[in-house]
Amino acid sequence: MLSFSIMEQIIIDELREVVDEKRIFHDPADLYAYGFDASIHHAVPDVVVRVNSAHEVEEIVRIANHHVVPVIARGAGTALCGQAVPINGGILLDMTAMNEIKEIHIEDLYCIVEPGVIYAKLNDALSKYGFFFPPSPGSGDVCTIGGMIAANASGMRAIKYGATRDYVLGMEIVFPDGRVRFGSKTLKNSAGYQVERLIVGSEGTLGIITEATLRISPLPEKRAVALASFDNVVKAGEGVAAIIASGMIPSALEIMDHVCIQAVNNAMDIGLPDVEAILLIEVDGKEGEVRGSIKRVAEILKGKAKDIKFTDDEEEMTNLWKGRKGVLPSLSRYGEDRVSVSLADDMCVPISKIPYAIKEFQEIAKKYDILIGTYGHAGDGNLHTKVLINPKKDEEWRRAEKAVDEIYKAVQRLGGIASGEHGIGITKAPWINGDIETMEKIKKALDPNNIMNPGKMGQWKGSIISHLRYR
Amino acid sequence: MIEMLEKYHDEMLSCTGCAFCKKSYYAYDFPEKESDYPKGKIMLAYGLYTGEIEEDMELVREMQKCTLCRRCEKDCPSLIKIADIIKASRFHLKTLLPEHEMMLKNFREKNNIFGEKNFEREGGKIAFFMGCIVNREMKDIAISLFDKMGIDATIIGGCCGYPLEKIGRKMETGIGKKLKEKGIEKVVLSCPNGMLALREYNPLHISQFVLSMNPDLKKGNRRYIYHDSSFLGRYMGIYDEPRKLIDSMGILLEFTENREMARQCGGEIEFRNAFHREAEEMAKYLIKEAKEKDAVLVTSSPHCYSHLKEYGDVIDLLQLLEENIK
Repeated sequence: MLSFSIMEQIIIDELREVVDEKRIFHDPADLYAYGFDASIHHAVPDVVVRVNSAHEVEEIVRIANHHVVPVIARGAGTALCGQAVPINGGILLDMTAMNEIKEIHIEDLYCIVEPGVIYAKLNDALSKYGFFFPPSPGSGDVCTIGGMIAANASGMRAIKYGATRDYVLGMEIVFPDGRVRFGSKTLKNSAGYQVERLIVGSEGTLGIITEATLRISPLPEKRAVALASFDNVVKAGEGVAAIIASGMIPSALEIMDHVCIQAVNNAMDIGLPDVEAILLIEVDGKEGEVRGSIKRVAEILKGKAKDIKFTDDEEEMTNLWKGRKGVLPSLSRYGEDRVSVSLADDMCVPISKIPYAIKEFQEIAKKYDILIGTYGHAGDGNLHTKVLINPKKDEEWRRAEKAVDEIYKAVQRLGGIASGEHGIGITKAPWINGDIETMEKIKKALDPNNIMNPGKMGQWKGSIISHLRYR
Repeated sequence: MIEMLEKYHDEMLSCTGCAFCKKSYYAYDFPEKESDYPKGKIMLAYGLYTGEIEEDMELVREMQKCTLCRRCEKDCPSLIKIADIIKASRFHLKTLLPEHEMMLKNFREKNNIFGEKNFEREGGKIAFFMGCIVNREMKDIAISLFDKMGIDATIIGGCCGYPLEKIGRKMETGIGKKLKEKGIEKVVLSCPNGMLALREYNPLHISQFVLSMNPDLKKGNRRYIYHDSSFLGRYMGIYDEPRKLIDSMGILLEFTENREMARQCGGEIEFRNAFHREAEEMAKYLIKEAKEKDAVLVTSSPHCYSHLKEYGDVIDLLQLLEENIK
């Protein structure tokens, strides 16, 4: 791979033939700002291009492949593991101007969008017809569909509605050797390799998504919520197992551990019960059904939970959700010079193993004298941890790194994987799931010059405490 | 000046980079790159602080391209003081934009950011601090309002210094000395910028002052939609007084996003002077909703009024009071 600095002027001249000068950024301030996502990492691209069309993407990737320089696609920059951080420099493509909702076909249950469409804006458009695109990532108000596909994003409603991959029907993608289409507009497809689904979760390492055909679902009429508090996490885990075993599928089943509860109570005046664990359960469905369903949840949890509240009143539901929604700010404002850094932030274990995972994380935190708050989507085994350290102290990073290693070993022991919905990037690279050699064969076949977001996932070797954005 | 940003070092580290602060910007077309969003600006401030980037005109433009309205902070899950970080970074910048240089020059030469003559009048112990924009836009109306209330107000003119503070230049205005010399006991303003500049003197907004006088107001059936000034609202928590007064004079309507969540109109003088296109788009967003609701937009800041009136049917609270006070 040639050094970009030698090639810089030639490449920028070629880019100018494809894109207006005003959409090419190479001022140091612009390059610096584009070097962040929501991870702990930072690196500066050599040039940023705000692309407007699939044709432009195709031409730029052709230029990059010819000169063998990296190309990194970036949406809103909400990735938590460094997926959009250009660690080898190169051309960073800002995809946010490709933001057209091209088609909505309610009767055929699909829509066609460009990758820069904001998730919430797509759902605003679909809600007019009583439909939605369900994966519901926590960053849904700001993240792009392209980023969601690249990370196979999902959120608290995945227990019932699944993740992004479950909704991708078709895709247009730019590989280093050109633009191609996969998939269909149909709900079923057994007509060949489903390459569009391979691209989901590939984090820009194989190609760049320039259009997606997505399945859509009808919006539920009504929701109801229960909050249950528990004396210990094992009992909370038993509660989760009992709900799942009952055959009912909630639309959300969230857990918060004691560290999170304490942090919320310290920061917010909402008086969460001072217990070891809290479950929040949401059910959705027809107007007349949800109250019965949430009552049934309360009955299932009777004897296991210390206390249960439930409601289908909009205002009361908002109050019950306040604690869960307050976890992130409360941990971020914990004080004691600690800030919340994105380490070991997303793991998935078999549902029944959740309480044991939480207990192990708490023991690991004690061992390394750091603070770890655990919360997440208990209903599908997807947990989030927030590691609180003083980022100005190298020694704290080293301890955190050791703790993260032990966390993921514990996750593997429990039969889990490194990520449920945030992806791998750099921060979780050592714990990627599956055979790396096979993945590299696929990568080499599609990207022989290794220009597509190089150095990520299986290609990252070395410490995860690298390219740190904190000084 | 690095000390200013030093104060916000931990605040910058607490930003998780989640990008939730972009949410309110998605209503507009003007953001064209990462540093047009609050997150990008926090990162640039951090780069300036750590020395990873150096000042150039692009950086100056990006750091100045923000009204400091704090609307984005309402979407920040980590409660980062975004506007304070951006403002602190401006004190670190050596260069000003040409439009801001002009404001500073005018201040130095005429004690008025437009370079205009300031009106002043001797009077009693209650002072109305006019400020540059009221002086230009509605001087006579302000005087008439006090006259109609039967108050012999001292009128103090000149620049409050706050628009200059927002661009990163703290200037001595001499207002405190003037208030002392004149024995002023109560300062009233209609400009939230001026209120922030004079906060140590516990100033009253015109809405608070008039309401405290139990005014007799003519009630009509015109439809009014109240635009919360970011600086009167989010900075000083004054939401109810303007509403109570408007409600006494007509039919009060609300923007979809109001009070703490109210959108900035782009009217801050230093912002719209330098970023006309952005300011215009922000204004049109609000004017569109006011038109859809068939209402006259009411402002409570001369910054908002002098900007929004270019795009639609707008009246300032000061004018509305002057028209309707009996």
